[in-house]
Amino acid sequence: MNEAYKTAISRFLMIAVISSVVILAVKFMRFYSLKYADRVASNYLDNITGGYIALDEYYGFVSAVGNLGFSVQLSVDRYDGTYYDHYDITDIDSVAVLRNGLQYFILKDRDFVTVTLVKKGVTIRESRTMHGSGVLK
Amino acid sequence: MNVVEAYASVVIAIFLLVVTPVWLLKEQTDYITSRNDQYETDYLAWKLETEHKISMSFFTKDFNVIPYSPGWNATDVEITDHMMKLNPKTTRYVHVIYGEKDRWIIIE
Repeated sequence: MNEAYKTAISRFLMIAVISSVVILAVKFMRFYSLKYADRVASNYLDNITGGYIALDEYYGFVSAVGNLGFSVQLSVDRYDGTYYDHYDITDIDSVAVLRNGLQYFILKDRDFVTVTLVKKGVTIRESRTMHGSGVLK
Repeated sequence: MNVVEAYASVVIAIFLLVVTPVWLLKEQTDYITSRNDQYETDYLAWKLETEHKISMSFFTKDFNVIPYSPGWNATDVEITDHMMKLNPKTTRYVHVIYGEKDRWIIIE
């Protein structure tokens, strides 16, 4: 095997190893950002107490997860004993009430609150059910 | 680069290019599947409870009944041998208690 051939193989292997390390690092980061965003969503829902969703807090959460590249959708499913309602929190005008200049979405007992995170075809949902105590479980 | 170094580089390159991405992809897929299974189970439990006043519970392998609590999914609990005979791997059963009547529901 002549020297030029050896050098070419050596360079090819080196480039292959370096590029694969870079690709893997990017994949790892994507996976762990997914898990991190999921944890942020879980913490956000855990911190909703008092029976309402404060929209300024919600948009703070949207911003935090948006920085990780995820789009967020928050929705509430409600059953009043006769039919189901589905509220999309982005439709602020129809769902929010004003209190002290801030907007709130008032939750009711047994409301099913869902946070949906979407990024490049990946969808993860986190949900909690409102209990009479005003705490999501 | 001698022959040993060349072989070592090839092995490392194959490992990095093939084995690790496949493992990582599997980890990610398993994570997403598990999380979405959990969501669907929570939603099902919510619908059963609100609309039909049905509480959902799981069986363990020794037939103990565990009441459902949010955050669980059907894969958290071992499926009984009897149920394994009933269902293919793709189908999961949960036990539903409705008043004094028991019945099985199937999540596919």
